[in-house]
Amino acid sequence: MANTPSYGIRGIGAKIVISGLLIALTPLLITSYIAVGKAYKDRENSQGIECQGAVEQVADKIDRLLFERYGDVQAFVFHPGAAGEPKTVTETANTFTKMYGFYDLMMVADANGKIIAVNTVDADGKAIDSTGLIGKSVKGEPWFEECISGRIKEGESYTADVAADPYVAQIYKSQGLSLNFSAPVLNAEGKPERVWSNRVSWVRSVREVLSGLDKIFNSEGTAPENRTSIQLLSSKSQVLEDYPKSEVGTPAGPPILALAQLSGKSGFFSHPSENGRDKDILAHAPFPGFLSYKGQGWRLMVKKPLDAAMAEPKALRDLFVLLISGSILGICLATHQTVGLFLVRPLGDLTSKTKRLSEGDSNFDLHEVKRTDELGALARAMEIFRETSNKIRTMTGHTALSVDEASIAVGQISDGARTQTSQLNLVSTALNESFTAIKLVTNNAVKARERAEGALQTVESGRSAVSQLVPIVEAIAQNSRKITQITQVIAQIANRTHILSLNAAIEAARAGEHGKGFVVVAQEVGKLAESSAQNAKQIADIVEQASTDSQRGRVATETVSDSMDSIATGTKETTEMIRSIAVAMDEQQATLSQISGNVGELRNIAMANSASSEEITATMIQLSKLSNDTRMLAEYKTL
Amino acid sequence: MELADQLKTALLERVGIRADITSAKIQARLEAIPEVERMEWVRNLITSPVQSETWQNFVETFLIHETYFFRHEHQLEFLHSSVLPALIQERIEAGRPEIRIWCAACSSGEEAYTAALLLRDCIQKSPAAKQLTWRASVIGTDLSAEVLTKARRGEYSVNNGLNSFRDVPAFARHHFPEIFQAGEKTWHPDAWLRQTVSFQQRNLISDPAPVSDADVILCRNVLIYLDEKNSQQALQTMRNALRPGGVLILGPADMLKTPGDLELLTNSRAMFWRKSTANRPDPGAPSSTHRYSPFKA
Repeated sequence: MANTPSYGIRGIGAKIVISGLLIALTPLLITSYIAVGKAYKDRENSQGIECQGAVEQVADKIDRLLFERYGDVQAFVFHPGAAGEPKTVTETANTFTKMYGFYDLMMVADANGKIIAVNTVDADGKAIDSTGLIGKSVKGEPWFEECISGRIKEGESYTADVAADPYVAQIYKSQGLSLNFSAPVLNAEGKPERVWSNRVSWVRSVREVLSGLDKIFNSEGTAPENRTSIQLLSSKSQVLEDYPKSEVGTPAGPPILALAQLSGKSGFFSHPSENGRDKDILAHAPFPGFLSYKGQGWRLMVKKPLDAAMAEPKALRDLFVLLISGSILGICLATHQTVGLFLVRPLGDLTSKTKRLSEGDSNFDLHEVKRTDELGALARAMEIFRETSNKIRTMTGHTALSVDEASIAVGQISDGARTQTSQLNLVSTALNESFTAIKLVTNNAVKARERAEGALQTVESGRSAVSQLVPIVEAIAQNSRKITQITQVIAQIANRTHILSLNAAIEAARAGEHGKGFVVVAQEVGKLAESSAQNAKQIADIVEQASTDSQRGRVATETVSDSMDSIATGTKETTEMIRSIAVAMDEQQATLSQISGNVGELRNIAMANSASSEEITATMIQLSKLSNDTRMLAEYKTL
Repeated sequence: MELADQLKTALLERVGIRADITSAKIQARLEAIPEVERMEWVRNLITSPVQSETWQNFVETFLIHETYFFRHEHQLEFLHSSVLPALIQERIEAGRPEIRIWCAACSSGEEAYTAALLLRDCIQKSPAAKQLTWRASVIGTDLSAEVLTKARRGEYSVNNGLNSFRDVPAFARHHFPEIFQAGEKTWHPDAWLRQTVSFQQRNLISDPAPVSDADVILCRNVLIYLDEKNSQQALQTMRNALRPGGVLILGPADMLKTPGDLELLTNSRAMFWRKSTANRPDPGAPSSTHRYSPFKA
């Protein structure tokens, strides 16, 4: 309860107190409203009746007064003076004027409408100068025409509503407000001979009576706001006379106008006054006339402020106000205590606990859960919320940690990717080296192939050379044989020659001297044949030797040719092999170059991976910060 | 200080990369060197000037060049459908047809060409824009000379698995007809793209920005590698390079908290930051009538 804020009028306590007040005070308020209202109404009615009585009385009084004036003129025309010489008529008029005290003017016109006599004194007996009117024509004026025409019968008078009479105005230098009562003066035959016309002074008749009424309502010293106003309205709803004074002829205001348009009955009602606070009694009465006088259709009304007449109901009202105030105080004190004890205090407790919960402090005792009322239910709901919020806080913490973990994990990915990159770098380098090595081998193989191909060509040409040698050797051998045969032929020839030389020598010997020279020649030919045979023998030996040699050479050549053949075959095979190695190496090289390219690409990928991962790591670190901030917020620590 | 720590510190100070990101790689690098040579190797590295080949080669291994065409489709869709059309419209009205885009840490250039392709698409879609001669420039910057060489060469291939075209969304495939229709293996930017897109080598945390009044800055998945201080430094550089009302596009995890004078704009699938127009007047910026806001009602 230490820091429970005060909610003042907005608090539950205040609301309950107010509701209690409403419930408790409603009957009291209604009762007092009815009682005070009734008192007001009663007072209003009595005031209304009083006012109505007053206006009825005054209207009646005025009607009676005017009835008398209605009758006066009929009496005057029967007076002998009315039919006499103008002088007599004047004297008669003067007498009546002084006697009655109501009249401003009494005029008598002859049958032609010429004024023959006018009173020369006023109602107070003072002389007036009215000679100016004598001889004036009143022909055409309604009162004269009505009377002279005989339409006004015996026992009737011409009457007209109050008006500003020009004759009165001329004589008295006034507004000339007066009422016209006229009647014909009849001759012996009963025909109108003259017209007697009276002007009843408004001031001396109606105003006199009304000012009496004003005096009754408004004693001296009455405050202006308490003044009762009086208005006399014409049949055309124009103000004829009013208290307090206003301009004659002013149109009546709306409530008055409404009133004036009522039927010929009298009555009263209450109406909100112009200040809007209080009420006025409006009482009104018609002017129905009296006996033969029909009246002018006037209406009299008074407006009386009710306030001044409300002392009694006010006292009653004050009593009730006092009673109600007392009740309010009592109820307030009682409910405040009760509500405070049973509702506001436990609610305050719960509020402060909720506030602590909202600030992240869930370490408080919530004993209210044992309560069986609504507060107990609230406390149990709070208990659930406390558990949930604890869970949420834990979860938030976990989230932050998870993000941390994730950050580390991604960091590891980044490390791994980095390692991968360096390893791939190594692989790439190694592959590059093998590539170079294989390229070298390939080149060597190509060279070897080229060389082998060269050797093969050499062997091939050797072999063909050798094979060309074989027929030569063969030819030599044949030639040797031919030579041997030729030498044998030569040897035979030498033999024969030798025999021939012997024969010759024998023959020469037989021939004697003549044969002596021939014996020498025969001897010489023998010697030559002997030498030829020896040479042929030597040639045969040499050719024999050559033949033997060439035979051996042929055999040797054949052997070489055979070897050459086998060498050629071997070299051909080797070349084929080297060629296929070179092709294989070429293929290998292409493959390796492709691999190397792939590895380069792999490295690019790995590098991009690594960059992405590192960016993720940096982002995650940033997020982890954010998450930590969130957790701290959840724990209500200052950031 | 341990050798690994010396290297981490050097990387943090010179490049801004967080120690927790570099440590595993540093360890691996150190282990690859014979123990007796390590100290000399490290000393040589950290005393080499930033511009030296030794240092740059070393740094190169720590830079992550993860990029591809039309990466983070939803952000680009928003750029394409909302930010750029509004910008183009505003420039047409102002009678000043020029647009500057800075791709900070553009890697091998895919993002810069992507931005240029989107811009061209937007200009060609608007009949009013099409008639004008636009001074459009997309400037890509990166720390790595190696990737910038690749970016300038402008040859992108589908040869490996995680290639530059790995995730081109359907709405953008028509930009690469060689790849997606003709079935060729490589794509080259055309003359307009080459003229529009340029590359510069810059260090985001220590070098000045290449522009002072960029309309759009793309810097995605870069700040995640930097520590808090350097990340703020890079942000400050980019913020200053952005003209009032300009838009900064970061990666989804680049920034956890919105900095003070940048306004977060988000639809359900993409996040942007816009530089406030109300702040100090930028002397280099055009007059206020030229300022644009893509998020006007």
